[in-house]
Amino acid sequence: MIRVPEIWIAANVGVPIMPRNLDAQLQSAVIHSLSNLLKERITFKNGAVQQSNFYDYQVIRMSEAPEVHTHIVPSSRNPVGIGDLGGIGVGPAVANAFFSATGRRLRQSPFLPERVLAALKT
Amino acid sequence: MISLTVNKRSVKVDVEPSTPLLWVLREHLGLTGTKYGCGVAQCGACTVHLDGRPVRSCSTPVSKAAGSEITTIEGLSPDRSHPLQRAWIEIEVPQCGYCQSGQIMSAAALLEKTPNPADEDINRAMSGNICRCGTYPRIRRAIHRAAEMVKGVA
Repeated sequence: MIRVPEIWIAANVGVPIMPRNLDAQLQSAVIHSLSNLLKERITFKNGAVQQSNFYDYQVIRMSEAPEVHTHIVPSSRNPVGIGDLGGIGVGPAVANAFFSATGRRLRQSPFLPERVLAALKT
Repeated sequence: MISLTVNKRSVKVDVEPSTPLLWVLREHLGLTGTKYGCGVAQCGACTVHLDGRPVRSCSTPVSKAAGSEITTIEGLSPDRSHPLQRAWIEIEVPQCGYCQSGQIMSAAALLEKTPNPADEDINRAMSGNICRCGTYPRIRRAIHRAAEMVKGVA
């Protein structure tokens, strides 16, 4: 399985109105996206979702949560809402890191252990 | 009638013995700081202490809590002065906030047992508490900060 101990992220949202909240929102989006990317999978059977709770829909927990290093790019432009900006780059970053390390491509998220293993065997 | 000790107060509640402790706390005693999350002891939002041990109150029948000291987030301190509460405010840990009572109660039980926890101790003690907002890095920092505060006071 893939483990991500640390993530670095930079954001330019114009003048940072609430820098600490910005920082929190970036960390939050990164970790939520990493959870989506590595763990969260919904499957359907006869038109119904098969997962029903956290025992069969695993999400990221403390032991798997990376340290998130944020950098706010200084800017004097008009401020914009941060939204979930932090999540966008996580998938490509992890996929490319995996490619750098192994020479193999992961093309379908979530990157579950069995998919990682299958990619390594190709 | 079932007799309970909640936050050092004796109370009597008229409920079935199999009623989850969480229901009694929230619906009968009005202690709504403890949250309902998954209902099956997977997420930790409902964490309270029984004699200082963290338990998932959604999956603990009230009969099992009779005779124990029950502590909820409301009983952690009378005035938000518990080191964890101070550290949480200082570091601005919460995002949406829903899981945070459970997180703090798990952290409080950890610090009672391990006053100076390493990251590994925090991982072990806190992995039963899910935070969908991903506040984990700040939770970790706040636990370390609270541990420092306790040392400073002692």
